[in-house]
Amino acid sequence: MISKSPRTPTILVCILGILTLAVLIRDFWPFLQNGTLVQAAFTPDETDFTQILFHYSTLPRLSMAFLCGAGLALAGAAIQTVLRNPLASPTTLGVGAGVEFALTAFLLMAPASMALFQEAFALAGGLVAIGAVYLIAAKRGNATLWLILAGMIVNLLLQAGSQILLLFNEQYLQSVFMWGAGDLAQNGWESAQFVLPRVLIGMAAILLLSRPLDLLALGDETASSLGARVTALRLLILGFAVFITASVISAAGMIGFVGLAVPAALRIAGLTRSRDLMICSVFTGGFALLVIDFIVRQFNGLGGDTLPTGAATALFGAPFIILILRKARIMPGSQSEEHHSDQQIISKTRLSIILCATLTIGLVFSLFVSFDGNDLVLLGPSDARLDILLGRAERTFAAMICGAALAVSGTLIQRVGRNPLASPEITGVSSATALAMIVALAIFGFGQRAELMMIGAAGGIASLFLLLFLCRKFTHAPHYMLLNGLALTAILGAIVRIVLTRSGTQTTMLMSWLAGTTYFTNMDEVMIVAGVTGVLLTVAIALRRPLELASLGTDQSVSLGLGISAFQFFMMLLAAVLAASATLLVGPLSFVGLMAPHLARVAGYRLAGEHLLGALLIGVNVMMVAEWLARNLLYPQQLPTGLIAAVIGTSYFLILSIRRPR
Amino acid sequence: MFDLTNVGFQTDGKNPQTLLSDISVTFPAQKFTAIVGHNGSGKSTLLKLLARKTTPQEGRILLDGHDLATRRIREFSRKVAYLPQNPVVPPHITVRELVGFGRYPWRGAFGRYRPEDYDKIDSALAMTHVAEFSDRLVVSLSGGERQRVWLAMLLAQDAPVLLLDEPTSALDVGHQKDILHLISDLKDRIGLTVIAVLHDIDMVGRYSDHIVALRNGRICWQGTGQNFMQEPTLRDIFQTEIGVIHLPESNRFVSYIA
Repeated sequence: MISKSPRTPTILVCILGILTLAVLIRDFWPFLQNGTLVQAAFTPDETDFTQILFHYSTLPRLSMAFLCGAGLALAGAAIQTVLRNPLASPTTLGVGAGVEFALTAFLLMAPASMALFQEAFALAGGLVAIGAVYLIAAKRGNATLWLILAGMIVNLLLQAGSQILLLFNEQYLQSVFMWGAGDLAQNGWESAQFVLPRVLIGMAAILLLSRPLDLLALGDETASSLGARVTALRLLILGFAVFITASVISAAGMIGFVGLAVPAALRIAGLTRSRDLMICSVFTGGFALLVIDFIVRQFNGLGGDTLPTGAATALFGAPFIILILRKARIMPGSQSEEHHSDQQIISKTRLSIILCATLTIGLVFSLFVSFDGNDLVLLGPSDARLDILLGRAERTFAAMICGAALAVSGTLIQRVGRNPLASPEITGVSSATALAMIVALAIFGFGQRAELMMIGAAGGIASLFLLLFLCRKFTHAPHYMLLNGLALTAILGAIVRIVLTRSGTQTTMLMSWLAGTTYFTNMDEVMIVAGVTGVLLTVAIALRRPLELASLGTDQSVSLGLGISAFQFFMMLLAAVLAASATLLVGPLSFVGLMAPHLARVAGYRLAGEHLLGALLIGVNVMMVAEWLARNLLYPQQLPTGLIAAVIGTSYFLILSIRRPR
Repeated sequence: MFDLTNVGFQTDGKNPQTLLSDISVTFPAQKFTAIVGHNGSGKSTLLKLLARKTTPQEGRILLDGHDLATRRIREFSRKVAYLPQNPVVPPHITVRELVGFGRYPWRGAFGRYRPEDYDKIDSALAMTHVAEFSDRLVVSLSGGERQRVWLAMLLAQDAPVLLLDEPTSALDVGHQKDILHLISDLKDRIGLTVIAVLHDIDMVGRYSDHIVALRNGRICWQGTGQNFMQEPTLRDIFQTEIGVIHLPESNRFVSYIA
């Protein structure tokens, strides 16, 4: 096909431009009518409320929306070009989460005299995050999928960190949370004045470097033989992109997906030259966010609460990613490039025995030993002893059962999806469960935990079917499932944030539940989840032979007489039910469903039956440890178990990805 | 065995491409039939239709006089074994376990493996000369070794019909000969029906009883191995200058590029 000058991007920019114009006219109309526009814009009449509102709120908000959108879109375009990765963006590579974490930590902990360094701190947070992601992926030749996965893991780790910080500073929760959800509401020109010079500097720098950027598209070797200093150039441009992102996020909070969706859309529309792409991104991004923000503003009146623009942007952006995935040809890090040595086939008996022993010792330990801040304390004989023991047992068992359920669920998803990195958390099943429960609780007022459990399970199953439906054409490419899951998780996350900012008093309770605390559980629920897990585990183990066969892929399993689609469907259903019941107890973010099956596989549990049991043992152990740490680490403060497990899980993956280069 | 009448196949999508059209052919039972043709002539597509991996938009395919679609899935897999061109190799499976999957059509999800199953697995491992690495992981083997392991799985499957898509593409000459010899020997001894996509003209002429040649999705020639190894026939099928030498002492023919 001969490359023709693409018309679609121009049309796109024009449409958005016209929409923007419409928004401006709509906002300016009252002042245009009585001819006070210039006066209202520059020297508002201090006695006229509408003019003050216009000058100090509407106008700055419009400018901020345009600036933030333009800056983020340009940063995204630059990052995508530099890394040659159509899915890279400030949010997917962890820059956003890094800046958010750094700022949260800074706001909550740094003394006021350090306020000058806030910006440097935010920038450093973003740079460290993208640096970590880049280092992990660089060892794998920057394969698209690895970069995104590394970004996802770093993202989740940093978000867990931010949440832990917030939980200890409840008084700031609401405001920091609102900022985290990306609020564009303005009450003056300070933010716009803060963002404008920074975004302009970043933009100018990146646009100046756009010619060597085109060279990077040819690949590192060709580019360096043409005289481009590849590494320096790449670092420089990434640095400026992070700088823009950090400035925008400091001023307006997390605004997701503009940086990903806008450049990706333009690229698909046919813009390939990096300079055109970037200039177009500036306008498209600015106009798009302005229009989205206008739409969001229209909903603000409802219930008197503000709707955060950033979270709403994710609602617009994430479905778009799913669309892109259907169009774009994304190369996975090809699996054959992994070098398979003749792996030792070790006996797992000893390992299993060790795991069981740890479990028993750990159980006794966590029931009888606690930590009072200085020393380990053995539970002494006294009247209250039985009560304490019961309380501890309840929470420990809850954590362990959840570990088991998530481990089994993760094993099933990984094996049936033939994807060692799939898990209920990553595929969005957990988030959907949580979402269904939150909506039921906060909006419809369902209070019964049994009802919530049913609703949550329905939500998880629905999301899994949606995911399978979206991926039905890509049965041979497991990474599509992962990326679709990423988008799904982002949508759900956005909705959760919106619901949370509007739920007022329940926020703390919801947040600690989302973070996965075992505090609210009771023995009956634990028993129900234990029963469900037990039954489904037995079913899964009984079906281990077809489960093993499924690893041969669709064609071969059908050739050998296994009706694979029905079987996959059934297994995914089991996985969703398990994930949903575990989520009720410890929240959606635990990562055990990803870590335990993976660790079991690495440890040498090869075949389906032993893999299930090995993952289960590991999952139970991890959750037990996480639960003890959560109860005792910062005694008398109680940490959420899910968050501790998430920190353990993501750290495991970081170590794993750094240590095993191919 | 297989009877095809006016079978046609197109790809899905906005611009459907016709891969096969108007195929009417009978594959004889208990014979070694080779499907040959240039790249993209529709060989693999035809084999996939026979293996029920895809369904034809036109025409019908009968297996032993019954429509292909009527058989239940496990019943079909006891009847027809299929080896795709690039089978998925799971990273954690040993050779013996993979070959053991061949018994799934007979035992299903819950049936116990009996001594006869283990016998079939052992003899399949021995016949394809892979017994020596039966406890190694399949992914650690070379391409040619893997091909023999897959063939062993098909033999353990114990189906009377084998559909093979380039079963010898990664094998050295010695093993090509071994495998094709083994297959044609099994065909003679236990009456297997073998249908294989093959590229090597001389191997086709040497081992196959019946040859079906495709060009641009249509059958352009069919006949016996003797008739196949003739200069005009080969030149017509492959559209290439090919010469044939007759070896009088063994009454065989070998081809060369003219």
